[in-house]
Amino acid sequence: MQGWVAIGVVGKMDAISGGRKELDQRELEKRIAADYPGLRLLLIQRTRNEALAVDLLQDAVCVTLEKWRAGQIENPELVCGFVFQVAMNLWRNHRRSHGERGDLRASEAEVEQLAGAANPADAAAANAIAAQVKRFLKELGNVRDRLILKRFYLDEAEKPAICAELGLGADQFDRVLHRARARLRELMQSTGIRKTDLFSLVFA
Amino acid sequence: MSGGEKPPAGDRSEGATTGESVDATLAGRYLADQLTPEERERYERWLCTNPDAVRELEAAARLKVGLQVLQERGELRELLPLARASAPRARAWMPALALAASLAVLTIGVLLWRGASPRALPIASSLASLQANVGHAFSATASLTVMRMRSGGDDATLSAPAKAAAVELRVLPDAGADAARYTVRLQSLSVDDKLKPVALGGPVAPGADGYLDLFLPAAALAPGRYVLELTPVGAGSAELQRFSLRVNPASPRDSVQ
Repeated sequence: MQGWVAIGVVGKMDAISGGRKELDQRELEKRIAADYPGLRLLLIQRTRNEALAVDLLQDAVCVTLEKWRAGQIENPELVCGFVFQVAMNLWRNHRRSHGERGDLRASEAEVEQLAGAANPADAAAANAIAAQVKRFLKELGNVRDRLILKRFYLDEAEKPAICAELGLGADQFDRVLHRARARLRELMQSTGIRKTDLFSLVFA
Repeated sequence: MSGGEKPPAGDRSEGATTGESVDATLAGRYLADQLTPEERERYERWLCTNPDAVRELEAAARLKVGLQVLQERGELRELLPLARASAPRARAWMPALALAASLAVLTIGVLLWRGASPRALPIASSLASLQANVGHAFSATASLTVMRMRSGGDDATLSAPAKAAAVELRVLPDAGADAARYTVRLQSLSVDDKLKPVALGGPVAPGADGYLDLFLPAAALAPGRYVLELTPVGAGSAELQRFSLRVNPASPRDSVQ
């Protein structure tokens, strides 16, 4: 990698080796919490244990930083993708080795934990996301479209079953999902998700 | 790692930004752990080479988390009026009944549905989900364990619960079954061994103790005989499993067996 790539999240300027900047673990974790609250909260929800979720994310960050230092990740914008991919695999391995529950639906207690309390920052993030999703659903004038999204994302029903239930063709289903995803991403960007997630260029 | 990974192939859908077809369901299915191992490997390679894919994943995660919170607060109900949400299910069943041919058969088929309305009742994986689905709380929950009985009799027996109650069925899939999740169907069994769908739900995954926890309205369980079917979802060699249930008429002194 040629030239300087200075990473905005890094607190201190460390020695450069071959032009690659050292990433700071704490800053990376903070940025993940700020830019990817949905994925972070979902990991907490799935593991049903905030301490475990935090451990899994920290481990995933460590593994990712090792790959970064080894030059296995070229583009800094891809770091978050690595983190969540590793976190999901770590969780999957943990679940297999500990016989954890495979049911991915949250119980009342789990969701109350999300929306209500132990960690105020997580509760605030969950409430903000719920408000965002509610606004987004209200903008979907078609109740059937809301139901499709609810059946797919909340109930985790499969596409063929939803299509059969609601008398939809596969193309109709796909169009609803595409429109919904595009609109939700617009909402996310207008209320705080930045296009460049982690890095700004700093020229020495 | 280069940025040259192609997105996982799928149905051609609007919204593909690179000219490649992109499966609209991938992010949601990945987060629900519904991808096959091969799909997951391809998707994760794409995730690690495409920043847009991560934002896409975040959008899907927010939908899941947001919907969960809204449901728990009861706010989802106002956004999904039940009357309209239920009607499509009726349409899904009506074609099957219409195939039975005459209007008399159709009428009899409707009359045999449990409950006041000709639609399959929901089976949910939690009491909260069931209440959200049907739009009201339940006065009580009767619990019943269902497992294969070697005696050859019914796999479970209970007394008809109060109409305002919910029923929890704790079902133990057969030994050796290794499906990650199942769709669930409850059918009534008539005296002449005809099956009629009564309630439907899933996919549901077994808990750490191996049991499937299923919740359904008591309205689904009038006195009679039933067949509970577990259909495995996804890859694997697990086969359809059937369990027999008998619901006896209620009496004040009866309790769930």
